[in-house]
Amino acid sequence: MAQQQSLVTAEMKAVIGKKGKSVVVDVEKGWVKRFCTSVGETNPLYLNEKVAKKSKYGGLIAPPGLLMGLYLVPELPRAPEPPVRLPRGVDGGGTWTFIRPIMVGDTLTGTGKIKDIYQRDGRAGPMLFSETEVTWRNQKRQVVARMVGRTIRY
Amino acid sequence: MAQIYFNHVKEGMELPVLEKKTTTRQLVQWAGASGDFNEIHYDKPWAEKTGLPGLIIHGRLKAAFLGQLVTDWMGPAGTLKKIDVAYRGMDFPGDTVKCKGKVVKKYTRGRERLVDVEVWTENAKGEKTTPGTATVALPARR
Repeated sequence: MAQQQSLVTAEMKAVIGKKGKSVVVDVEKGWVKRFCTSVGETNPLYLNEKVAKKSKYGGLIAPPGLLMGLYLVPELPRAPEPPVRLPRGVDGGGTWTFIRPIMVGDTLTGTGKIKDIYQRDGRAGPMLFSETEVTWRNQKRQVVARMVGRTIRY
Repeated sequence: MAQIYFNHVKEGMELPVLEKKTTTRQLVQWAGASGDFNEIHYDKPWAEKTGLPGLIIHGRLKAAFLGQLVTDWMGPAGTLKKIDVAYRGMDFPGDTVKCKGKVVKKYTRGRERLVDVEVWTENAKGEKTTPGTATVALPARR
């Protein structure tokens, strides 16, 4: 079987596991409200202080989508350019793990790293996948969530 | 807010369908809320110039729809542990995106009562454009 050209270079392997700079976001009430409007979220745990106070959280929380949506491309570490031109790049999806509740008023710090870079050869030709992992901590330094995003170049 | 309990959940059970009638305005609102200002979501000539048939819905907005599907179903005492989605197909503003889900497994791990659900967005042709999975923890019977 003919071997396809490897898109994963030594330079790429060298960046796997290296931490990027951190990003800080304030989970402001107004942001959560605007976010809920954009999605069509009506859950009182995000919007109604009275209801949220009586819930198991004891106050307003952020919807999971807030972190799922957060556009971080400029902040995150990037995979080096592939050795051949791959004109198309798409967001392939992601995995979000929620460890502790994110409260409205929290200040979150996200630290990203390239988790993996690998190649898959499909019908559209060789595809280069890069996975970026972001760990989110609150102001008490507790991990609240982890995200792995997948970018596909082909 | 209705609450579902672990004992009431059965494997194969379907989640109530969440329908989203999308608009370009919504994509602009999402762009503002998420910070994703890629023009392919609100500037039609730009989107067409890149080879797209028109404006497309942000993948992550569909992921957020699926998050809502699950959190609406699990109720205020439930906890979303994990969600995983893949953006497979395009959807367009003006489309009604149907968010659907099905229970695939219920089990206990330590003191937690967990349920795995398969989730997806579906277009008018019945194609799954954003398939995924989610895990929630649910309260025991009252």
